[in-house]
Amino acid sequence: MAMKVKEITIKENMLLTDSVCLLSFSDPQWAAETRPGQFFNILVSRETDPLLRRPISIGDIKGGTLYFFYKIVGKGTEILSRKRKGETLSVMGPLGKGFPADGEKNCLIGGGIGVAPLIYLLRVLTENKKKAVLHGGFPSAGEDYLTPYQDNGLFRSKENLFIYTEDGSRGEKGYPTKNIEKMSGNQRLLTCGPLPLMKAAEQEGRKKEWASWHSLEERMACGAGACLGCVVQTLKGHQLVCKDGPVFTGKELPW
Amino acid sequence: MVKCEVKIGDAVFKNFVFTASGTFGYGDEYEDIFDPALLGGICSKGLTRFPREGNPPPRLTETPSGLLNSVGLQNMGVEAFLEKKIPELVKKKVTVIANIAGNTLEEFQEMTALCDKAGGITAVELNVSCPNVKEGGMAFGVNEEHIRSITAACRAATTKALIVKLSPNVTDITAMAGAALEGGADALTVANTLLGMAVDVDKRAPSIANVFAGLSGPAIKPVALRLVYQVKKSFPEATIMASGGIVSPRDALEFFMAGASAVQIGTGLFRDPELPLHVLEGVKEFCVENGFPSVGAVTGLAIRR
Repeated sequence: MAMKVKEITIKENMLLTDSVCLLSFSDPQWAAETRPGQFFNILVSRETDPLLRRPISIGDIKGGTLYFFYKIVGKGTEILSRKRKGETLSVMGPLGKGFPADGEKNCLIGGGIGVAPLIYLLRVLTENKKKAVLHGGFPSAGEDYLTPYQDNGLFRSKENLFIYTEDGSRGEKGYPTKNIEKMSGNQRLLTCGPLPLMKAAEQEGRKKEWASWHSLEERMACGAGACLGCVVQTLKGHQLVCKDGPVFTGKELPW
Repeated sequence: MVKCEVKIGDAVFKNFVFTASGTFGYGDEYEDIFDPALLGGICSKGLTRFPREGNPPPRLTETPSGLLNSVGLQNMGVEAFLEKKIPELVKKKVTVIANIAGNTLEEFQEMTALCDKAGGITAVELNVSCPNVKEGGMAFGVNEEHIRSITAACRAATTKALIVKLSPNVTDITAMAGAALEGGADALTVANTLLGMAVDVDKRAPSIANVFAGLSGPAIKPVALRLVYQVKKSFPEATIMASGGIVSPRDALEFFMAGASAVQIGTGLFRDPELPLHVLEGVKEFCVENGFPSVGAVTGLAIRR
């Protein structure tokens, strides 16, 4: 599964909410090779400002098409959001080590843009005939991009998808970790989102002695393990988010 | 056919494109994208006598057309590199320049001796200019006496090509270049990163954990060009490897015309991992179209005598 640099043609690039976009392009080879939790480095400008590629996690894959959810947070993602169908982009990947997708029972906890990698994870787990439920949290209904994306047949509402909002404007009021306590059986905990959310999930998971995996984020340059810029502190010392991660086990993180 | 070889000391490199230390890992990270054996050589990640954990995160911040980094020489140590990485690189026919950073003159000399004994290393690049470590590092690179004595000590420890990577964070780079040449350097790398910083306004704090960091990328190209020009004008016989913000073949040509004999590609790799090959092809094409028999014929063309 070698990383490659390809020129892709944008299939769609549209806003799902005020600030979250959905980008897609067709690439059957990458569609077959990419694992949930891996990411791609996208060059948003041929100019040198912004200079670096943007690392974006794989959000979903179906029918040979790759889907990426990204939040407009700065200059790079703003430029990316203005790209139109038919324009080309230089994309590098797939990068990093993803989530394991072979556990029998899986609890997926995501917050904000961190829900995105869990969508493809949910799809792969479901296809592998594993039990998996995604708990996705957002500040409010306006920031929920799962609902606008839902009409794709993946989610069977009230069965494998639960939405939470902090203000209660959609789904259950509160954080997506609030129901872990009530969950039964030995499950795998797979999370992505703000650090406090992943930490809360890990704490709940530890009470149940669940094995856990968390997808981390750090400022990144090369994406290939060459520049050593994106380290995080782990119990084994500095590890690279781009190459050793972005997914790490709960056991190896210092919390 | 354009003559692409570059001679440094007794070593002949097959062409003029190299990857800069700290941007190409230990040489195998990008092999999915291109074969590093196609390059003149690769400069290893900065190696120290013993393994180093490097600086705490965050280590990076993007700036307009630039990148600030403070990795702090995280590396596996020179011996691990020679044992674990070199045999693979030799098998793959990759030409390796070992970039070494000592805390003391003795460490520099000891590491040079280790590299001299090891097969598979073509040249040693002395990193007397890392801005991101407290001890050694740039402190050596801003002092002529230190540069002269470290270079001389390493010269005595090896017959391999010896390169000194200079710091741009000095008042007069020609004094530093002169000291390295007197110490016995076969070539000079001009230059390392410029010391800078960024502030996170929302956090009311420096953007990088180590506060100060090395600036690279197109933002520093004009400064690096000026430094190459100054060194070549003062020392016409010196062989210069230029480094600083190259993202295109034309950038490389600017450096050749300012006095470089070879170029090191660094930060540009992060946006275009195939950039070293693009630069190699682009510069060759320019030579063919303009009737230059070799890249050496372009070196220094822009220097006013």
